Amino acid sequence: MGVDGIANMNELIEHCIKNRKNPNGYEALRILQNYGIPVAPFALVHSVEEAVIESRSLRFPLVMKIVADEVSHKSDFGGVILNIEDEKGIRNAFEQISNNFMNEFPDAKHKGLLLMNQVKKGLECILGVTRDEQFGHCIMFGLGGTLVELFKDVSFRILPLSEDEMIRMIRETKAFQLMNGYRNMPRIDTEPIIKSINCINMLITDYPEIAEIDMNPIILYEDSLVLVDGRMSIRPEF
Amino acid sequence: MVQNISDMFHAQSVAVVGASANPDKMGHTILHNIIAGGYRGMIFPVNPRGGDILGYPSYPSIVDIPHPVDLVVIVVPAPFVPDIIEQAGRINVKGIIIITGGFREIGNDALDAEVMNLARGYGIPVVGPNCQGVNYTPNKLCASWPLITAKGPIAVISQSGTIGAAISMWAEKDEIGISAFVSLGNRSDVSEIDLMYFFAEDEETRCIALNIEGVSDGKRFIDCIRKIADVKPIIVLKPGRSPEGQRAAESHTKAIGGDDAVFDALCRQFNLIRAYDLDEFYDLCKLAAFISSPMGNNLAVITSSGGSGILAVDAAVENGLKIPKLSDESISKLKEILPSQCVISNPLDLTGDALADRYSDALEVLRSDCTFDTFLVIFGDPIPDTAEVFLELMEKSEKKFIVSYLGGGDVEESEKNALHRISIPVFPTPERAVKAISAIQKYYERKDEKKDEV
Repeated sequence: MGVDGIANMNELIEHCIKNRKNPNGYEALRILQNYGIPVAPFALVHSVEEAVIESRSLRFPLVMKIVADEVSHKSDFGGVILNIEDEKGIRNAFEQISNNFMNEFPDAKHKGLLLMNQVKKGLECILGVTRDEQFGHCIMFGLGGTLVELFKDVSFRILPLSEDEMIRMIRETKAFQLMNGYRNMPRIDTEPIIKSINCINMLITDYPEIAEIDMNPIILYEDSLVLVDGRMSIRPEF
Repeated sequence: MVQNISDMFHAQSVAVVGASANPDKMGHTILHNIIAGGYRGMIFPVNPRGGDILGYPSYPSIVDIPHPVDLVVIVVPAPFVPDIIEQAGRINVKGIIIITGGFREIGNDALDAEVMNLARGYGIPVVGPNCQGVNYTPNKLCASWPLITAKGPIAVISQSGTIGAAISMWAEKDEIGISAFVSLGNRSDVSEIDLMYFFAEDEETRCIALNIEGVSDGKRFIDCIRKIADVKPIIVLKPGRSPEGQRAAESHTKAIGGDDAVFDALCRQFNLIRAYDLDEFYDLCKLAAFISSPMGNNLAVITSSGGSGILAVDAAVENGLKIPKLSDESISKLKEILPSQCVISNPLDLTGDALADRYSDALEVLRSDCTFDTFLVIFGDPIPDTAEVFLELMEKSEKKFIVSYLGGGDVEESEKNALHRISIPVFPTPERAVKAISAIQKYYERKDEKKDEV
């Protein structure tokens, strides 16, 4: 599937780097997926008809969300609709999100809508990257969701790092207590997170121009994980 | 650079450019401290006015000195500095310390660059400019202020002259001493990284006290601590949390990951021991100076003050240490030898009338209790002759003894130093002792863990 006529993901990142433009939410997911991060099945649609067609290769219930450069908190203005059960739901959601976006950003044009399998509940975490001016790229792991900045249950390390160090980073968070069978909750394996950190490390090594990545939320299950939302920003190195 | 710094610190002769007979001048203080510090190399005051200064004949310039000069300390105003570097290059000096300010720190980047280019051209390392000098006690070389002569195991590297001086003075007063105090100033040439490499190899140094507001080069800093953090404990005080909202929060990760969160992570990742305030900075240096192997997580507390014992227990639990029960054997032996008012448990309360001999008796029993590697001994009254308690024990056992001495009036002051002289660290409160034990213990645990990792 091409993005604006671009054939593969490496070309896409290189295009973004060259033009100093951040990948949009859809592109970010494609890039991360290409580097091995498991992402919930998704498609980008530009019309109701396209949405209906794409929904056939996905699985209800679905989630629909806005893809636009202007938006940093999609759910704040009704840019996300959950629990879409059927074709009628798709049509309603498409109209509603388009209207909400127009009301909030009258002068802007969105990049389409993202249709995604609604995943089952799990532990919502964040895996992020930031590039420190002094020390270079850092990885962050912790409890995710929309309240991440409020709770700040996160832990950092400088990239690259050993797998033992990744485990130490994970263990520093309260999220780990939840993963470790807190009050009879199912135990969650750290292995998929470690795999994802290795994927991210590869991406950053290939493209150090990537200054930030938010994978939030990334949903953890007992022995797997799935990413449902991501963004990425690009800035030349110092 | 390590060899260069070593040559500089081991200088066999020193010239002070801008030496002065006027006690109000910096050029007087520096020369005075070099002399009063007992420096055994040759000393050359340099001052165009000539005559003797503090009993040493002066020279109009360093090129007029009829002996080799290893180290040049510059105290003259900034505009004169390039000429002196030029002269220093011609006579092959091994190191330069520029005390004078008036360079990059006031926006005079060009002069800073000119001076550094000259020095680099000659291959001479420069400490400063705009700094408080260098004190290297193994060479009795106090080209700095205040005058500190107590030789000891702590190497102090400080961006803030005052913080470095404070730590050094406390260490002297406590009879612990320092191996060095280096004030970084503008660190236009010699950086904290170069110095850390040097002190990692320096035989006189057991731990490194590092006070910086920022690192000079992030990637080199990481390389350095990767290599040396497990060689010697490095205790870091890095104030200056970045103001919130200084940068636009573009992502959650960036919004949370302020500079300080990243530096904190770096400390954990590479095993730097981070102190968050000046008291803690000194406490951690003190303990690292005396204890150079793991202490275990099990702490036995022996006290003459019940209240202080409980403070120690609370702090221990809060800081991840354990206060296990005494073994049955220890309990029955202690019951035999201690007066009936003593509370035989952990903490072991010897009660207010305890003197040194009661501590000796109790510790003699407890040193065979294999649950404990480390003893926190609290003297909560003016108890004399406490050093005697440990002298014999230390010969017979590998156990570690850490003291908190409080409520002891004049006796406390002299006892504290007597204990320091036999390498027992003394803390003013049980909590500070416990926090230091916890931090240094974590360092050694971490070091062991890393050994097993590829």
